[in-house]
Amino acid sequence: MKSQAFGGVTSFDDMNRQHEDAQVEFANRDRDKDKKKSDDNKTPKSDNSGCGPNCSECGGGDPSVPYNANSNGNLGPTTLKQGRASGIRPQIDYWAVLGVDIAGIADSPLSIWKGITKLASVTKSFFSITEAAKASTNAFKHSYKYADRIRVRGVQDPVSHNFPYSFDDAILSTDPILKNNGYKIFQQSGTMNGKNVFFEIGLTKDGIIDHRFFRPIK
Amino acid sequence: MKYLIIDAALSGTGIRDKYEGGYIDPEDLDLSLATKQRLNEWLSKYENEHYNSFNDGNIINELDLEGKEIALMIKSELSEVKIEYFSNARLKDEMI
Repeated sequence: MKSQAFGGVTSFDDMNRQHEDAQVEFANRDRDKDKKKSDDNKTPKSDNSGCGPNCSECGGGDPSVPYNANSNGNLGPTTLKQGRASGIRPQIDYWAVLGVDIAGIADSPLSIWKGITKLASVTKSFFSITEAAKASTNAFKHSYKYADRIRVRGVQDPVSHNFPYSFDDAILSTDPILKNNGYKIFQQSGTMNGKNVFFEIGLTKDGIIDHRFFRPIK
Repeated sequence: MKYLIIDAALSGTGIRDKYEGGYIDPEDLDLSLATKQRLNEWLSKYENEHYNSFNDGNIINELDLEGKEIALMIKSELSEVKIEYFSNARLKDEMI
């Protein structure tokens, strides 16, 4: 049925065509977005950050950013690294085993159902493992940020500048020594490899930790 | 052969062992009193700049220049030694 024109500009057919064109355009946009997301996921993330600053396993990491496995792409691999360090089997093992199982049993509806329930079970256990790995990375509770130099010095001279970040809450709970310009130094004695040492943290007036140090007490 | 790095890290001694790591007490080296005094004065000035977050680039340049002079003094007083200078403010090292 031919539709009536409105004001000489648009007919129902035109409107339908425009509507269809718009739908195609939106579909194309969505497809482009999905493709971009997929490409982004394929792009390897830089893994030069090592562990997060609150990594309780090895005390390394990008000190300038408080650990947040959900927001920092660079820290993604850290979670897996910590998972392996804790004796958690890598994700790929589960999928490899699952693939073999499904191929072997998928010859009847009951078998297919078993495969689906197993898939759900493995998926659930994988996510619970991932959550456990994330939860175990919180080595400190304080909210100060770490300056970039903390990591540089920790890597360059670990003998004097790198110790577990899990110590930081205790060190920061001591009475600070006040210095010029509102700078605070927190010191705490302890032991490292059987030697008596003092641990030291420096905090700027802006709440940034830019000094972590330990030295044997003579 | 000793491999030393002159490094004004806060709370450090000013002299770092490159390969063993950690800081060396200047008293354990055969350094002159003048060199040790100059080293300590330089460390105090660098410490103050750390408290100021190394804001003043000109002061950092002067301190790094003085640190390299101290490194040369130490090199001339010790035998069998290789010396590097590390700028604690700029986190860069340089062979002396």
